[in-house]
Amino acid sequence: MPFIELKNVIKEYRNTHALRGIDISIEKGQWLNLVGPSGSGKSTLLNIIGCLDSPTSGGIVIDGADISSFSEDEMAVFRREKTGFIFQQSHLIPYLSAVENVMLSQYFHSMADEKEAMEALTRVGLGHRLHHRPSQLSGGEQQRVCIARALINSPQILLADEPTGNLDRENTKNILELVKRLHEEEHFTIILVTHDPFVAQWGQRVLTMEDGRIKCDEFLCRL
Amino acid sequence: MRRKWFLFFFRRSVSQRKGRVAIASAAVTLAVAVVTAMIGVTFGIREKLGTELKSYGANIIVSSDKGEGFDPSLTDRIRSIAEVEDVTGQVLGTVIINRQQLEVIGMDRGRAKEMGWRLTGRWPEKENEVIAGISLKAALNLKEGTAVSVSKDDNTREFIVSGFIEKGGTEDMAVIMSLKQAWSMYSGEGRLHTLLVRGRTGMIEQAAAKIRELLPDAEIKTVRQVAMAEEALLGKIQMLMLLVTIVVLTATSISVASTMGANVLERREEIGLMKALGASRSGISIFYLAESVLVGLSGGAAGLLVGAAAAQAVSKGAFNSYIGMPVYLPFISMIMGIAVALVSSWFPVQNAMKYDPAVILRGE
Amino acid sequence: MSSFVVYEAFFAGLKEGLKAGIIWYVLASLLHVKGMLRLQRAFIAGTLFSVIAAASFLFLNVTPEIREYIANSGEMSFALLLVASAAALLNSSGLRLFSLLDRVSGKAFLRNSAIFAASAIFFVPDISGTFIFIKDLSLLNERAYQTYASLAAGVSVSVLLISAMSRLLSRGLVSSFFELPQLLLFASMMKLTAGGTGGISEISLIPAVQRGLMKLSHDIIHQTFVMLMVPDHPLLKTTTWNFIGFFFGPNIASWETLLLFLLCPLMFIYYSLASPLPETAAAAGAERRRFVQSVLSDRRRKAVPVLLFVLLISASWFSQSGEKISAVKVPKAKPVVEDRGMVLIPVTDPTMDLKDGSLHKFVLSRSDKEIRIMVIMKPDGRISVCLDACEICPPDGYGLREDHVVCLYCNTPIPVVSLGEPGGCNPIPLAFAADDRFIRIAVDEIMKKRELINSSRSAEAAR
Repeated sequence: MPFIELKNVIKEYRNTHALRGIDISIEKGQWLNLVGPSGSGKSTLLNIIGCLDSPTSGGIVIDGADISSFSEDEMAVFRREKTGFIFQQSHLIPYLSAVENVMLSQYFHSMADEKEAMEALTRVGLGHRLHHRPSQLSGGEQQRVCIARALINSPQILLADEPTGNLDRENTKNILELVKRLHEEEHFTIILVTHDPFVAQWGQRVLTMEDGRIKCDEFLCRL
Repeated sequence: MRRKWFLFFFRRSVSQRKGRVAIASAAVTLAVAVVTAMIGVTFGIREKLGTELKSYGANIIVSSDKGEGFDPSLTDRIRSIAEVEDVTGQVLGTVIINRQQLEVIGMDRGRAKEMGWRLTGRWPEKENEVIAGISLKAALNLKEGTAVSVSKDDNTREFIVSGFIEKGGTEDMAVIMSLKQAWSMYSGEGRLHTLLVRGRTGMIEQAAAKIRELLPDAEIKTVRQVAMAEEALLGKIQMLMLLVTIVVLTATSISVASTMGANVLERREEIGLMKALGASRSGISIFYLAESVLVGLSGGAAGLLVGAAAAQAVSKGAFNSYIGMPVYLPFISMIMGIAVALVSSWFPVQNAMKYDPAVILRGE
Repeated sequence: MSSFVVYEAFFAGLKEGLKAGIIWYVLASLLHVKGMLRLQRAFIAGTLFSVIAAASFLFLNVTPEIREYIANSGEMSFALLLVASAAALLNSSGLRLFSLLDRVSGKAFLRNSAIFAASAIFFVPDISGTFIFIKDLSLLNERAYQTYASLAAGVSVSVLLISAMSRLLSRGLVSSFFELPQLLLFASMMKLTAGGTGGISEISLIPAVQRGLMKLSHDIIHQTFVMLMVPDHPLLKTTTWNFIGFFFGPNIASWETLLLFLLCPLMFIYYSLASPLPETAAAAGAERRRFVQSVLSDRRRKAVPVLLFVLLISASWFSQSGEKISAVKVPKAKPVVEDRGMVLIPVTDPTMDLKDGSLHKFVLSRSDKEIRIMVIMKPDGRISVCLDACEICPPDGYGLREDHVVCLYCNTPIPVVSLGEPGGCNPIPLAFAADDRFIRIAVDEIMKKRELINSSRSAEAAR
């Protein structure tokens, strides 16, 4: 049984089709990249897998649960238990420190625990920047905070939407190396959206999308 | 532990926007102040009008038409009626003094002092002292300290006149004695002929109706003209106050609603993020509703103070004295503040919970 | 007149229906979550039984004794409910005193019987009282069937409301607040706020139970001290009496019995909020946090009904205690004389009427002693004659407060209806003969009963 399975998923907005029938199976622990031109539907697909959005039709089963029929509240529960998101803009709360931003994620999951939050930030290499506000952190450091925040509740799926889009090459590499290290330690499933071919080389599988459909699906030669 | 974080985050996010919270609070202050002042002044007017009329005596007169009178314990029962301020009973009859038939009013001695009579001499203290109406001074050639011989049938007793009262009514020609003295003249009675009732201002007719239920056979008369005029006046005042209150509350609601609307719009990134983190709608909206409650509380408290001060100022100007505030006033003001803030914020917040996080967070 | 009757009957039906319905709903949610939903049948059976049993009163002649009995049984069932909830609270606070409870909850038959019995005890007094009330109302109405019809209408509306409520609230949500102790407390709160037999709710049980408890504890403590009393040491006796008097004065008495009501609930709240966090297999991370949070959240929710109970009891206590201090009227004692071994008191005379329902006192002078006697007509028309003293307190005498005589020394209220019973703080009853004109009391009787008055402080010493 694949961990994530999509069957004929269609997503329509008011007058456009963002997704026109997607069928995929994703194994547990797989690192999958979604590439394609702007408007190809990769972000939409990401949001649907991450239970941030629901499909117009079609079925999605994740870990045995059919999330396509979830209610709003059930989707929220799924998100906080099983997923972690990282965005191109870090969307960190500007008036909270790094630790406090991570604790926010803990709070909505169950309860905040400062010690665990500090440990998580240390793990991503920010042990010396725990109490800095986002404005005092560089782009790369901000994304590290986002990674810590996304992973603090031990999710099964990490969803990243152009996480390195605003970073230079050096920082991009650092971030991707961090993610790779954490992936090897924790074995969560990764769905990563990017239009940068360098980024797309990281991971195990690349799905190229165009116009709401999967154009091609390649496995890179590594496990 | 969740509460700790909740308070922490709430405090932090409010302190980011102190100015705007203060403005919303000011709007609520205005509304609550107006309502508080209105309630305070209405209450005060009631009280003042009541005091003015007190000195004109009772406004409901209950008499027994069967001649057997009322049980004295009825006064307590009537006093316990909500719309009644006070009751006193009287014994009425005639006696012979110096071969003249004169009216006697037996009443509670303490009450006599509240009747608004002008007294020359002193109030009766000893057992055998009475007061007489001013006209009797000349008619019977009396002075303070004169003894009179009062007879009823074959019962004669001696009393000493300690003072004279003047009102401009029938009392001026009567002898006023205590209930005990009156009963000793009319042996075996122990009952009251008339009950003078003071109904609460604006509720005289209701009081009379309740007394009528209690004593269906008695004759009940209200001081109609005065009662009607005062109730009409109060009614008009209350209508005006109600109108003003509605207008002010509406204006404030609109103001607070739009402030909250702007608030959630500004913070939609935050809301989208929280949704992505898996927060439920209630988990997010509670922060915003808590902010409304804060606005309501602070606005309510400030409004209470301002409104109470305003009411006192009006009262000082109009009646040249300060008025007592009803005990429930602080509760009403605070609750009103919170209610206005919460109700106005409700729809903007509920709307905000429908924001699509995918759209907000994409931000390409 | 008849619209008033219809209105009252409707509300009585609505109230009883809601009471039964809400308790059923909470019980069913709780059982549902525990997988023991079949037990709700026992509850429904118990309720139906109560209705049928109570309906018998519609056909019986309801004497005042029966009414009083029903009122007492209502108070009794409330007291039982409190005791049961106190036991359950103690049980949940970790004081496993009641292995009996575990054994009972093990066997299905015992479980069903317990629930059946509990619901019968809960509902029979209330529903009987309601039926009697309805019967009284129907007599006021020319068309008696109207009264019964509006009763039925009230019950129907309550059924509608309950089904609406069960649709809106999820069983999971409701049951997260309740375990057995909370359910019992909740039921007692319902009884308290809606236990009156009138059409509208009245928090009527508190003063009655309070008085009962106060009297009980007061009697126990006083008798203990009486037994312990060292006969001849004046100092010790005085201070002890003063202590007791202070302890049972009007301000403190409320606090003791309030504490009695609240002891177990407060203890429970303390234990549930202050106990250490539970152990968990997951050492750290999201799983641990989730577990800890759910335990804490569960504890807090279970404390909510208990807290509500505490608030309700405190609030009604304080609102009652304000009313309690209404004036005590102490009449002046009129002198009476003995005539050939008898004391004669006229029933009516120009200055008094013994049948007016208020308290009358008389004093008999004998050599150097004064003995006071009190006479009052009880609501049922019988006259009660007693010494103006009881067996326990210094004989300061009694005063009248509404429908109680109150001991002026210790402030214990004795309902007028219960005068004539000997013992405790009751005024010592006297045997007497009465006809239309006089009450006759043998002087020997007076002197004999006078021996019972607490002689540790005689009348002279008290002044």
